[in-house]
Amino acid sequence: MKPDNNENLEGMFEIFGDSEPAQASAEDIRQGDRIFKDYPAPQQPQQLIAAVKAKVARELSVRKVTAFRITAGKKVTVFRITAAKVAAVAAVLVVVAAIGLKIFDTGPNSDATPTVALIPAAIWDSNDIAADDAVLAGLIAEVNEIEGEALALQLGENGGNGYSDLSELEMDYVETNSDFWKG
Amino acid sequence: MAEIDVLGQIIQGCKAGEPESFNKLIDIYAKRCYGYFYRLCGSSQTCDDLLSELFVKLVAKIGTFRGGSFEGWLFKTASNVFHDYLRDKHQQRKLLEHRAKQLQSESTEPKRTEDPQIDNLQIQLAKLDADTRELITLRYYSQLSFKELAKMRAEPIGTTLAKVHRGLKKLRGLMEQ
Repeated sequence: MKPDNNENLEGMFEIFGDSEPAQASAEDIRQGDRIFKDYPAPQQPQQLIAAVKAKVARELSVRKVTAFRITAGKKVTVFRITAAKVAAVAAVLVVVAAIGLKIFDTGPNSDATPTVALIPAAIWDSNDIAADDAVLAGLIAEVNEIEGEALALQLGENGGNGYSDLSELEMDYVETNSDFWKG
Repeated sequence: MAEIDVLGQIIQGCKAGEPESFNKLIDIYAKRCYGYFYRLCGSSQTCDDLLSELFVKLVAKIGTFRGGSFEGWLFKTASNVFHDYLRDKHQQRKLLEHRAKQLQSESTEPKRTEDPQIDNLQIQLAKLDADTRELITLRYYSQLSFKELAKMRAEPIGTTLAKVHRGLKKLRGLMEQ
């Protein structure tokens, strides 16, 4: 060790010292440092060093897992927000399409090309879609299931596997969304 | 300068969460930190715990090191670890009892090590006030300059210089008795 750190002790005592001569004060410091050098502290045991390294390694791995879970949780949240936005846009398009068909419908005796409503009248007028359209009810159930799985991932339930489960969930959503548009 | 570059790389590795970098840091500083803790608490068991706590804490805090004197930052953290330990009232009582035993016991007490001079330094250090004891111990083991010490303690450099001078002079007198 270099206790005096190559400092100019005399110079410092000349500036900051009290009534004692700078050289004597500097020598007091050096002799005091020699005491620590002559009486060294016990050496730390090697097994202590190994134990400290093991604890540090454990702490590092815990922090890595925690950081991964936070990242996965954020991705699930982003996915839910995106899914909600897509569903909202899809609903708007459906409504616009239905209104457009109503506007261009010129009556039963019209020479206009017969059209087929995107949404059957029974469904449009229905107060209970699940009862009136089994296919649509099935798609709704699938969307609810996916939403439940996303929530479970976010809460870390069901022994989720983080990112890989999220990717699988995204694929399920894309498939369900595709089925919805097929009608 | 090369040493500073190597240390800089090790610190960057620690910030990136590399276990090997932390191991290197432990290899470099464990001895000095252990000596610092030992001279402050005088108990090897407590010293083991404090050393362990210091390096585990570094894992969380290394990101807050923004440059400058790494020794200053490290030993400031070590000082905080020691003071956190002291704040535990139960530990404080044990430390006082241990010091009282150190002060009361002379050569009649069986030595913990074969070297009686280590015990003598520990006994004489215990006779200094807590702030002086910590300051002169910190200065020796951290190898910080007076300027860095004064900055760490947020006091004028002249004050730090005077405290260290008085403390070491008194310690030398006690050791020569």
